[in-house]
Amino acid sequence: MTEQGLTLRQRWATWLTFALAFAALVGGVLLRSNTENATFPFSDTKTGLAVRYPANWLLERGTERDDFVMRAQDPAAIPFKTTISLSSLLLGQDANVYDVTELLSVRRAAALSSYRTLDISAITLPDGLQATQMTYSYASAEVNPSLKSIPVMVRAADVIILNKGQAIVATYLADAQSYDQNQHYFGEFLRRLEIR
Amino acid sequence: MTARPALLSPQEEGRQVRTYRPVWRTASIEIVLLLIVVGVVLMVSRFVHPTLTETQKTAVGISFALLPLLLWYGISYRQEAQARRPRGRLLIVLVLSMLAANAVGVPLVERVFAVDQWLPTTGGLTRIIGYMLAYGVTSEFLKFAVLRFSVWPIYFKTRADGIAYSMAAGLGYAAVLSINYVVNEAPEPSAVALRVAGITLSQVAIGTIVGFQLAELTIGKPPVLWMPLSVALAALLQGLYVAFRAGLIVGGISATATGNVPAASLGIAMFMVVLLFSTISFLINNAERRARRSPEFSS
Amino acid sequence: MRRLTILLLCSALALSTLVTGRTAHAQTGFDAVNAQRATVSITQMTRTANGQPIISCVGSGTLVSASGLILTNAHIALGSTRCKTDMLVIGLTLQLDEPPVATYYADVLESNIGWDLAVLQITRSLDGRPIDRSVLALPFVEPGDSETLNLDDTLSIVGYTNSDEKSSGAAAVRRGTISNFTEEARVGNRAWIKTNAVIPGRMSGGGAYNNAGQLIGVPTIEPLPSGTEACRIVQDTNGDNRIDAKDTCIPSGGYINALRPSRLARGLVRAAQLGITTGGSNVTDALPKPKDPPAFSRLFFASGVSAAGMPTSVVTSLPSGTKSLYLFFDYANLIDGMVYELRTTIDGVPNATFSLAPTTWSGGERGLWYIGSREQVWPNGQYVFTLLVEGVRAGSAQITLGGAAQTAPTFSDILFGVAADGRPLLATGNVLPAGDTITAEFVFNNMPAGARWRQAWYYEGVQITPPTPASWSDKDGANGKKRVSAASSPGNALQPGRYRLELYMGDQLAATSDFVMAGKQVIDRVNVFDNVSFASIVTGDKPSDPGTTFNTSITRLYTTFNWNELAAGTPWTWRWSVDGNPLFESTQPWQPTVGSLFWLRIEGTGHLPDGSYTLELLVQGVSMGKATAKVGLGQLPVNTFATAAGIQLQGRVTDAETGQGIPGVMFIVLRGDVASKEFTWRMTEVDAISISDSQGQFQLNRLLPRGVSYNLIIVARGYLPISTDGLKLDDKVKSPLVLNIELNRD
Repeated sequence: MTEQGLTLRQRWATWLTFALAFAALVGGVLLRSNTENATFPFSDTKTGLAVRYPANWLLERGTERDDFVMRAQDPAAIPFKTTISLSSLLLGQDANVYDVTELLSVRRAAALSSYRTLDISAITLPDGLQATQMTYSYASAEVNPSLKSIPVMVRAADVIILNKGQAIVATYLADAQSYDQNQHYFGEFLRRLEIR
Repeated sequence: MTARPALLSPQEEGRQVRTYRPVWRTASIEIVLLLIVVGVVLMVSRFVHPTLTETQKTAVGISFALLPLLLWYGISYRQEAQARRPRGRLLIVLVLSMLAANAVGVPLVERVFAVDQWLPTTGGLTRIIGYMLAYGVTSEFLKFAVLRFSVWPIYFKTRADGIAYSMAAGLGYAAVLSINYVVNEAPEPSAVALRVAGITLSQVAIGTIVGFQLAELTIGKPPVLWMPLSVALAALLQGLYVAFRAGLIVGGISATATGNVPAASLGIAMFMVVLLFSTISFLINNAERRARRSPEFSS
Repeated sequence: MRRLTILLLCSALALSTLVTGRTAHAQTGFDAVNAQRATVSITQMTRTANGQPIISCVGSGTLVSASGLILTNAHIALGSTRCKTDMLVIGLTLQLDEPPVATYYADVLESNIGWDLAVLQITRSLDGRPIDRSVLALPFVEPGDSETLNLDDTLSIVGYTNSDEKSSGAAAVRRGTISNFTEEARVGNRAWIKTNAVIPGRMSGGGAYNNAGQLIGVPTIEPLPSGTEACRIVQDTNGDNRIDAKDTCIPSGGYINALRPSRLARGLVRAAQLGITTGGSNVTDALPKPKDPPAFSRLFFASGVSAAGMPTSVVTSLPSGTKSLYLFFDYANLIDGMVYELRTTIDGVPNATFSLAPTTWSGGERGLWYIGSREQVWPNGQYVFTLLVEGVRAGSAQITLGGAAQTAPTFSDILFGVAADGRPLLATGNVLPAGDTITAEFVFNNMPAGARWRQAWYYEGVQITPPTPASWSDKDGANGKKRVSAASSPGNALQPGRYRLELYMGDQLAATSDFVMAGKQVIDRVNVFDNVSFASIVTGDKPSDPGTTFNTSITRLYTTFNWNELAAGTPWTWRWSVDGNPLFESTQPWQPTVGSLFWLRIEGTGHLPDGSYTLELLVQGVSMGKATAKVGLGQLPVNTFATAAGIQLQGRVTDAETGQGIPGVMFIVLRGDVASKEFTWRMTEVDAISISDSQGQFQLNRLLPRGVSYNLIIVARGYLPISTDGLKLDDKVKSPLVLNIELNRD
């Protein structure tokens, strides 16, 4: 029996098996996409912010003592916990976005090791809002002296949106090596950000 | 010219030449031998605690990853050669499946699906479906494709041929997965022993479903959907195996440590082997019994 | 086929028997490992003229909170001429058998120079970055009750030793027993716990633990001035590029045999935990430093001490079996922070039990001081007590103990008061209201008629009455009480200030007592301080919101009061407490302010915690005013001080197949009411959290209370998460609890 000598049943069986494999391939990709891009809602009535953050990330709602409105961390990320956060700064009438970037830079330089501002540029958010993005890096070191880790180089981005006397700052922190790989989370986060 | 007298003596039993190599028997012997080696490795690891460098670990690991191939070559392949009707393309199937695994299977699972990045932390059902779609279908379809385009249907004379070729494909695929595991993880010898045995047993056992169905597609007249459904069933079993294997290993946490049960992975692989070997063997016997009773056979 | 199946199953079963589990073990009592881990090295550093940091002195300390509070000696925390301090470097015990690793800088939160105790707070990492103390998860120990200790109790003393050929310089444990309790002026009974353990001086500031593992004392010894004790020259301190005898050395010698009891440290630790500090007063001028050299004089012995800290009677010898003996002496020209020492010999042999190792002086410039003990029998023998100040001999006295008790004539128990026509003395005590006459009553025994005796009255060290030798009157009898008095000349009232009465039998001092004249007499009591009130704001020395109830948001609490007839230089004491728990106490010479209002202040690092704050004012140890103010609810939050109890959970997360530690694993302890399956990944459901380091090690940032069941989740990318509910940590589980977690890949 040769290839040409196959019965119709055998040919169909082969084609259907191929179809199954293709369907499974697509199904697998879709499953991964759905799993990785699943989100949970978050809203804060005080600041009027609503957003969706990656599902199964550890959510922390900021209190009066915290400098953030919300913070979500990928609990499974290794070695640095990829983090997306949202904060709100009250601004004076005359403040501009560069006052905010300067303020953030000074605060972070005081708190973070090897802090460096990498770039400040104007960007347009998915919904057309104008914003300013400041990228920076720093070394994240373990705070518990009993635990020994070489500091992790963290790459980060602040997206600053000025709105009604406040600056909304969306921050993305990731291990420098996986920054690009995980940036889609931040893109999706910004896409779902609502300022009421 | 003097004629030598013809000697009339009974044929030696050990040299009895079979028509076909007994697939189940040789496979089972290989599995038992593999389990014995695994047992020895576990005993040595537990009581001797050998300290190996990374290179030594990798060397031991690769040796162990190739052990199933050596056992297969020493037992199944040599007996095949001694059979009256040897299955001549076993080595080709094995090599092709290794190539398919290395060129397509491993990259697809590790890079495209990147299963270890997102599946372990999802829920149980998602893990089963995810591993079925990403890992199971990939491996079973590739083994199907290797068999389909290399030896099928020409070399599928009996249903046991399907089993023999599918086992060769499974072994080749498993060898690449094992080597990939050893090279990337550099695990302890005991972990290698359990993991290689688990991969080999699951790939070989689950692969027989596709082999049987391909043989059935040649010899019998199964419904047209049975072939894709067999691949799907095999993929599901692969998904179940991966999901349950890790789940069974992980125990609770006591006051000082996790209560892992590494041998559970071997247990579920053995369960697959026994279940599938028994089932497929039963189906083959049943089909052949029916065939012998059929009018075509009697004529 | 069946045989094969059975064979395969048997093989699998045989393999499964190779897997076993592990079990927990428990231990109670002194936990040497935890005590060593909670011990820190404290390095006092200063900068040379060219800005190079150099080590000036080293000591030990003990972590008393996970957030980085350290209990140590004040002399280790505060700068001095011997140990200049620009910064305090804290070294931690990361490996038990290794020297400390310099990790943080610390600042002084609270201190009491006299008690030589201080509480530090870790504030910055070595690169100068501020530390978020809420995320620190340092091992620590809990201060215990030093009052429950008894003679011969076993002690374990933990601190750092100098690294030499015998020691690696790691935190060491020395064991011994309690040999004595020493009393001292200002502190009173059990001012010191004496031990027979051999404790190197480098351990000063460390911790002493009872058998229950509680911190009950702080080994204390002051480094002496350069040249008077062993010193290590380790660095070029004068910048001449040579390390030689011209460089300043680091004191290393001496052996400690005295511990400051934890009772004295508790208030400081409590205040530090609450974030309360003393914010000073409206007296800003420092007292002028004495020009003359320090001196000890009028050394004498007494068999007892009154509640006011005065000798009950002066003795020159005591019989066998004596349990109570005190050395009294006058001091002058001393400065708080100087080092003084008492060396005792018995029949010429140095005796550590009754000596006092070099310690910090805190009695101010002049006054009467005592050291002694009353909790064990003093052995018979010829005692010589030698006082040293700044390493120089400053006075000596001797007494013989032994023989039978004698019935010699004695004067004792001098009591001052206001005379009232034959009635018992009014306003008795060692503080008398300002007036024209002083009256004292004393007890006499075995006095023969005609015996020569005399009285002498002094004001601020100057005798104010002429010598009045007299014969003991037959009418007074042999035993009883007698009154003596001194009066000012008409028209010249007695001045407020410090007075002294000395009673002599022949030329031998027989009894003496000091008292302070201050305040006004109000009926039968002395009124020194009045109008004690509180305010949260004081503007221009005037309270803006006087009252006794304040809302939660205040950051400062002032107490204001007026004073009456209190002479400058008179020692007085203020004592702050919250909800009945003493926080701060300070004795200092009175310095009047401009105007009639004096204020003291306490401050919170943020808001002042809710509570009932009490200020007590004392003169000569006698309470002269007390008032309480309520802040917020008037009660400290529940369990404010209960944070030290619990189990430190730590461990290592490894890959089950490679045995390698997994970095970045999140170890989550859920709140008790959240089962792992119900966890929705919100921080509000999380009780504690830790992320593993590059070796897979993790350590929770808070202690887990015992007797509670915990739900855990351990998660890392690429690995199957592990969760468990109901992990019970009972009283038998040892802290730290080390968990070895193995994670599996799919």
